[in-house]
Amino acid sequence: MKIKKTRKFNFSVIYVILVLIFCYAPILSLVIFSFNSDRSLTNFQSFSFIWYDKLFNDGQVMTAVLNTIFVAVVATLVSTVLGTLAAIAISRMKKVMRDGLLNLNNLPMINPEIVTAVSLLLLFLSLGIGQGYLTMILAHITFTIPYVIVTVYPKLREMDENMVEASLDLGATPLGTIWHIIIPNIKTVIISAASLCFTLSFDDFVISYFTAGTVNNISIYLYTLRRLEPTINALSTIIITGIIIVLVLSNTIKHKKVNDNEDED
Amino acid sequence: MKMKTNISRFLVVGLCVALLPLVESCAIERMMGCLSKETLNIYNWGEYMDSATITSFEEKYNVCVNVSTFPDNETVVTKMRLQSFDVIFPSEVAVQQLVSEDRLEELDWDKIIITDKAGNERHFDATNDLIDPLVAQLAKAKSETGFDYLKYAAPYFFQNITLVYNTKVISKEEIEEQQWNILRNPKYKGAVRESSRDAFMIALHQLGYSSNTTDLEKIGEAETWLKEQKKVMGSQIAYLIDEVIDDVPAGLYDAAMVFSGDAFTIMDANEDIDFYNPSVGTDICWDSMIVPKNAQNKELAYKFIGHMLSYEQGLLNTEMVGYTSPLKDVYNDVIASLEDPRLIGIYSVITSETDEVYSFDLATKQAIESAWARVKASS
Amino acid sequence: MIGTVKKAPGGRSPLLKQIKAYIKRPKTALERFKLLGIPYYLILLVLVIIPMILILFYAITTPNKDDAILLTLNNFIAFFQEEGFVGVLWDSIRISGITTIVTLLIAYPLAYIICDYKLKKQALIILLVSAPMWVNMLLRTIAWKQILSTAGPLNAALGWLFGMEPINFLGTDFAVVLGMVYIFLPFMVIPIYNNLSKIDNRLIEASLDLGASRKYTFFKVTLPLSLPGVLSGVTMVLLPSATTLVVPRFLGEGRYFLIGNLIEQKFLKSGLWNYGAAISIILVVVLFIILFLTKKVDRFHKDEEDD
Repeated sequence: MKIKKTRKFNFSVIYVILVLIFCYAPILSLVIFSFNSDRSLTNFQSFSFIWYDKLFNDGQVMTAVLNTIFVAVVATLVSTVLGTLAAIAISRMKKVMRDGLLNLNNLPMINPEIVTAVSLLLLFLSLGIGQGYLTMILAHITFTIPYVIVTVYPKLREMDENMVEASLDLGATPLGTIWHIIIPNIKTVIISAASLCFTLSFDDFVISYFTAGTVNNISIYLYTLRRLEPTINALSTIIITGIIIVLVLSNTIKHKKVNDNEDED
Repeated sequence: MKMKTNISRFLVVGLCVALLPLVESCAIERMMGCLSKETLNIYNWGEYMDSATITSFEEKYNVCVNVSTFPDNETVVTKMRLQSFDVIFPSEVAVQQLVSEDRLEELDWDKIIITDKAGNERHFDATNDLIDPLVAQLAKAKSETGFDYLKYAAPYFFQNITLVYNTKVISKEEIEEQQWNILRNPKYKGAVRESSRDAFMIALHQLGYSSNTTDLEKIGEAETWLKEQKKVMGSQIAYLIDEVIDDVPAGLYDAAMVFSGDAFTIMDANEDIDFYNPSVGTDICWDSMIVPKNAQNKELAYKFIGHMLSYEQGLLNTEMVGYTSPLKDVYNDVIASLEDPRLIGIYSVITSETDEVYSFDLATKQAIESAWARVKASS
Repeated sequence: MIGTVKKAPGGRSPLLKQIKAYIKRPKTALERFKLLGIPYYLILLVLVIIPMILILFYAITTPNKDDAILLTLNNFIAFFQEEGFVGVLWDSIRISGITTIVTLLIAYPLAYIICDYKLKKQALIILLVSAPMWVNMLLRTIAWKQILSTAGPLNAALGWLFGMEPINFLGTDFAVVLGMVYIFLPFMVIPIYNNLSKIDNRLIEASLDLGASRKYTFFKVTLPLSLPGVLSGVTMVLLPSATTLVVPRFLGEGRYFLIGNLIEQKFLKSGLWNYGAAISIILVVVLFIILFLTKKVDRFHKDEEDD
């Protein structure tokens, strides 16, 4: 959708800038305090790197960071692969089955997080599975996989059905068809689904809190801290800086590529 | 479609950035090393021990310590059903409940070896190594309820619940007159601990009852007291957990009920803040180290408890956390090193006759929990 | 390798044989595709459906002294009889309702405006809006706490600009809603943007060419066409914001006792699992009803999904 509207141009730019300020005000605050020499998150004493030092050298913080990344990577991989395959399967079903499955798929998404957490807790308890990486990863798969399906499925529906049939008619195996025809067509949504999974898993608190066992992740570490400390601010600063560098680079260097992609969608 | 390709780049680089610490950190080496070593699983409050005590233990015994953290005692009780830990650090409140559910190992004190101030390795001697107020409270608890605390738990920190207040806003006379009611005075911004037990404790004491009462009528009165408090105070009351440690020195609250250990940190950060132990009574409590029945590595757990009861580690922990050490040598040395009389006062944990130690009763606990939910839901 | 469907052999053969033959028969490509979903179906069954059944089971039973299990509806009745609990539920819905509306009011114009931009710029802004999600939610909430506190920058700015006395925003509806809007904004912007950017421009041009005003075109063409995006945004904001634990704790001064807190209290603190399960079920039912009512609004797209 694109209509030229010069009339409201100035207002709209201001609006976008205001929303972005809203989005980055707290980020700015936490970046600033990651350099505080004091532990306080309200009083800035002087500039220092002590929290960066602590982030990399404190066993507990680092373990929490590594645990979070490990769980997020595994859960993202599993969810993306299984979710994409399932979306392909669902897209080929009859309407009744399809609607039923999509509704079921919505369940973990619309289920309050706390109910999902509690229900998984009850499940692991009754199965007698000790909590740890396994339970946490399973839990993370449970709440991320529906997002893969809702992201990938609509794109599959948009895909030209004839391509798949042509491929099959020409003797390609179903797996071959998926690999060579379907996947390249939906590559972009698969990647955005994976990215969504990773962020959701990376950020999760409630479900991890109930299913973690002896595994501490960043959220649990933060939630149980008696006093806030800027180490995780330091981590966030590193991540945000990384993202901003990427955005800047992709907007300055590769002007050449713009035209290739412009008409893809 | 441009956006999606950008997202892919975004994802890849974001991942790399997130994974960057992996390459740099020595934590990785440690984690890798741990795969082949014996591991001790610790379950403790967040930030409740100096990480140097962990490192020295790992080096001394060539093992790995995995620390998970919890925010409250109730979580411990629930989590223990699902997960085995080797050493847990709950408060006396949870210890009694866990014993009543038969989930705690009886401590074998013969296996607990400490290194004392003189550097000698020896057994722990509860009557001489522990501070007097704690020994007195332990004896009192044993004679009153028959519960022998040391049979199951090694003391870790000793504290009471106290009132901290801003001397610029509230006078000492006023707080002495109003006691816990200062938290029901809408003139001042107050903070109550978000804990059913602690909130009911102040209400019951202020009403003149024992905080261990099992009389449902009295608990009902306390419920009304707390509901009225919520109503009268309106936006002047806050129910907080550990946020007070930063928020009280920052001047967000005029009065707050806190653990004496937290009061120490608060008063250390802001010299306008003083403490008062209400004479109508308060609770005396302590955190402890326990070994659950389903612990995987009991031998190592005993070694760890001995390590934490040693003079040097006790000193490190009390200095880092700010809570009062139950170890006599550490306690005396810390007090000798303090100059500010306010800090000496709060670190000493002064107890009085009206103070009480929690005694567990399942029916009462559930009644108080349900009543607390109604208080929080009231408007 | 394309299989053909063979009819299961002989009507007279025993049922078992028929089934066996049915399983062993060569599969069509279509059927093979369907098999791909099996791991997902398993996840759905074991990690979603069975746990929900467990919750339901806990909700309708009560543990007895001699380990017998009794069927009962008392857990549900207790919730409605307990003074204030229905109020807690109502409060949660009120807060999440306001949050959803505010989020929508911020997100829709944003998505609408950026659809006019060049694709490159669109992507940039969408990424900028979603990038804060990479920072831990607890941390972002705590950052807001600092901004809103009496000693924080917002009060400093207000004091400097208007000479106002510091206001304590913490513990007000304003702070809690603000925190939630902040956390959930990306979940509203992205679906609406995805939807708006897919709308065929020719429809709008046609409307304008036929003499409709911009306003008329927006309300009669663009808005109805973007409703599915709005709806999925609403779903992704309304439900999580009704049950979040973190925002009310840090921005509500502990005075906000919402349904998520109540469930946590019953499960973790009181150990009343059956009661906690019953409240969870009530919550799910109420949320589903709200969702169903919201979907009714989307009349325009009701039949679109039909084949």
